Amino acid sequence: MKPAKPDLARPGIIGPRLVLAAVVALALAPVAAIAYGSMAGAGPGAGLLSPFAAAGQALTVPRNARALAFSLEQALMSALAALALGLPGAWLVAHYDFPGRRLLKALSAVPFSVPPLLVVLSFVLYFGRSGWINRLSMMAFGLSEPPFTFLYGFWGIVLVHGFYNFPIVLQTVGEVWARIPRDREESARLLGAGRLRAFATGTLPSLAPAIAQATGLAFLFCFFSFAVVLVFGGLTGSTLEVEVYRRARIEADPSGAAAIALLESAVAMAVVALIGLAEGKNSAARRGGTPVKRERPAGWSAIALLAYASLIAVFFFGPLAALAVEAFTVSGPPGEAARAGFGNFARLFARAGFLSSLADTAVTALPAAFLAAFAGSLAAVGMGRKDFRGRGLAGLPLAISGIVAALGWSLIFPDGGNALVVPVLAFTALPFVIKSVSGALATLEPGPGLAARTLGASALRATLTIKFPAVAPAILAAGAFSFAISAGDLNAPLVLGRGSFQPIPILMYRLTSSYRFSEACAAGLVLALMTGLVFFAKDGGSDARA
Amino acid sequence: MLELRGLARTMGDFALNVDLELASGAIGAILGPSGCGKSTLLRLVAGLEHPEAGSIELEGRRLDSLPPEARGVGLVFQDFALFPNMSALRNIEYGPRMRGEPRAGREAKARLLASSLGLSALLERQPSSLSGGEQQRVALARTLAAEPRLVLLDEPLSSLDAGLRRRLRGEIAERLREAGVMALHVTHDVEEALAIADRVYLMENGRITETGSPEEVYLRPRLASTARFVGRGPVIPAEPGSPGLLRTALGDFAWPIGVGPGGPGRLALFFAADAGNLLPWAEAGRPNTLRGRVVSASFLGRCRRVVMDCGQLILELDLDPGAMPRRGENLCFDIPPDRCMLVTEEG
Repeated sequence: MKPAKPDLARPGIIGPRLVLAAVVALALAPVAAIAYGSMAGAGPGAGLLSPFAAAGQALTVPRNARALAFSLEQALMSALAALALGLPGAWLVAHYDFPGRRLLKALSAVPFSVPPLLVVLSFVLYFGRSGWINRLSMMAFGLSEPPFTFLYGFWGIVLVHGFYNFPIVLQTVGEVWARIPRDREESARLLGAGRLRAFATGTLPSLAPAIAQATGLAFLFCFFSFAVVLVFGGLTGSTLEVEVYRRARIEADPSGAAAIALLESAVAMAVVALIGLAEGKNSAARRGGTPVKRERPAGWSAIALLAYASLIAVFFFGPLAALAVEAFTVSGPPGEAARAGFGNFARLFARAGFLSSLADTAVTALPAAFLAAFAGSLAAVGMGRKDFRGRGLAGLPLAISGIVAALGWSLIFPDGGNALVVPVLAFTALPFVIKSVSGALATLEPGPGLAARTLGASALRATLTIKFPAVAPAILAAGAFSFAISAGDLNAPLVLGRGSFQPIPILMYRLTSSYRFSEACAAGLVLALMTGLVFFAKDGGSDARA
Repeated sequence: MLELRGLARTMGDFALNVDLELASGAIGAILGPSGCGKSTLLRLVAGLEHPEAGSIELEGRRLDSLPPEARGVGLVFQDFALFPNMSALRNIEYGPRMRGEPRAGREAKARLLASSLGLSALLERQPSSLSGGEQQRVALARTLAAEPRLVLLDEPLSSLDAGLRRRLRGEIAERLREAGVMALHVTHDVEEALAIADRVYLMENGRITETGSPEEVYLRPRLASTARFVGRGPVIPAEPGSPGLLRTALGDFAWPIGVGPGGPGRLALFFAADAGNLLPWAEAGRPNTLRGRVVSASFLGRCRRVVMDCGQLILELDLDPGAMPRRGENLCFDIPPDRCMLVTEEG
């Protein structure tokens, strides 16, 4: 007999549906504000449906149709690239033990916490016209022209997106793959199925939802891609996200921006719904068993591992290394060789306004992280561990891009100014906090909390002494994550920033635009250091407790 | 004394309804197959679930409206439920801490308990680094340190291997008696229940069906279901025949004069598996004899168990370990009247 769900194990403090309604309202508010703004702009007598009519109308404008097509096309190719790069890694981390395995799994933090601008910069330094690869090939083969010029176009975007997002696939799929009992495949083999057929019967059905979920997420992030397209897409095309920004802030065309923003959000919501479906199926698969035993790679699996490691080293760590080296490379006066040193940092810190840039980042990202961690934890606890209909709607904020959120909230609070950056950043980080804390709550064993009650602890004390410490690491991690997302975010300050407000991503963007790569890299490293410090502080806390 | 009166809870089409009494200081064992509602019963007593009807009274105090922390009831969980963020020592002193006892006093108490359970060297360890048996002892120490008036044990040995299980069950009973605390122990293991308890409660489909001392439920069960679950020997459906005889599908049986059926309901004949004596085949057909063909025989050490095809029924009987029955051989048994017992099928 399955015991009834214990009455006391459910930490639902506030009505789960109420919390869900609040999250959904928060997600829809910016979109609604944009729709309302466009309705008001259309003059008196415009119907409630006019914003959507306008969004539909926007599709007939060739430039917009091109942007939609380009967004979808590059996102699809990028997601497929991420899938192709991530699947072998997922297989390796699920089945083999090797040095660097943890590092490979930890890369899943990269798409969320490494600012896209930093990634763009590193790929320019590595694959760009005068990047490492081109200089190396020109030197090796005595070429007078750089041989690789694909970076500044469609395939450049796909390359950057693919390597930026493959860790999502690796982690999500790898985690499930590791838990699929191997005896299913083995029994299929013993019943006469070939290797491939056995994989299709025993493993693929459990793996497919994870693959769909991860690919969908990669698709969504690439669909929303802003910085990468802003830098590389100039000549080839532009995504809806970049178009919204251009119309709103550069071309002063609010109704055009609104129409495209609604179009973009509609597509994103459809994608998020599909991701939610896949995730629902996936979480059912993930609940099963403990990870199967991993082997040391030998023979052809060792070769596969080596090949994969080289691929990741060349295409993923290579650019990051170029970034670090560039930051410490000081170019001398013309005619003199460059040398290593801290000159870029010295110049950066000597810049008028760099310290205030640091301060701008700190005073927006820290409160945003606290706000996101607090609100997200509250929402996760409020929704409790119960599965209820509509729970998937909690992912809705994912469908609101950074630019759309910033634009919408600035319509709701037109006088919000720079202060508005904080809640908008917190809003962007919210779905990740909810997911992380909900995950921790789901794995929370009910036993210890109940045991505390039988040992004389009140409900509150049992929560404080037993349940909270079990969830606290997830909340801290989510907070650190939110800080990383907020500190590296370019979109919100770009849309909302007024006056001299210039957090580090904006500074990096301006330095990159004026081809001062070395200083931009140095600024990027300072940003990475700040984020690293926050993660360190978080881990220090948990070490002290253990 | 612990008194449960009409304690009821329904879950889907499963209904629990329990009446139970346990004397102060005694250890009770609730014995039943998995899914009979034993764990739910414990959770109701502990206050982790709420009954729909009925009352729980412990030493004259009504518990059913109290929150779990105010009941003075401890529960040793099946998977131990140790606090993963605390050392063994912090786990054990959690209960006294919740009562606001000063640190020095509660630590001394925890150490004393720990030493009686052989845990002294492990107190600084985290639960995850302890073996199953060690975790089990920490869980028991933690429960006892809270000084409950009643300890509930929810299959506390089921996740341990057989040898450790036998050793720990003696140890647990001894610690509980030492502490003078009453306990209710839930298990599906007959031997465990018999070894630990002063009183055994058979449970089936959400109800207590039979109650008695370990000797009573094992040697003289009242119900056929008890005899079947305890598994001491065959239970054969029966009906009254000619005076002084029971009619069964396998023939007529006499039973000791004056020993009547234990209650209303259909009758059944019950005897211990080793009650039979081998007879020459020619004796077959008399009352109190069984005959059948040997389907299989297996050597169990203290006996040789034969599975007999008796035509209408398949029976398992125990022979002397030295006996060497052959497969397909026809055997005849005599079951003396003084070994025959009447039990009733409930309802």
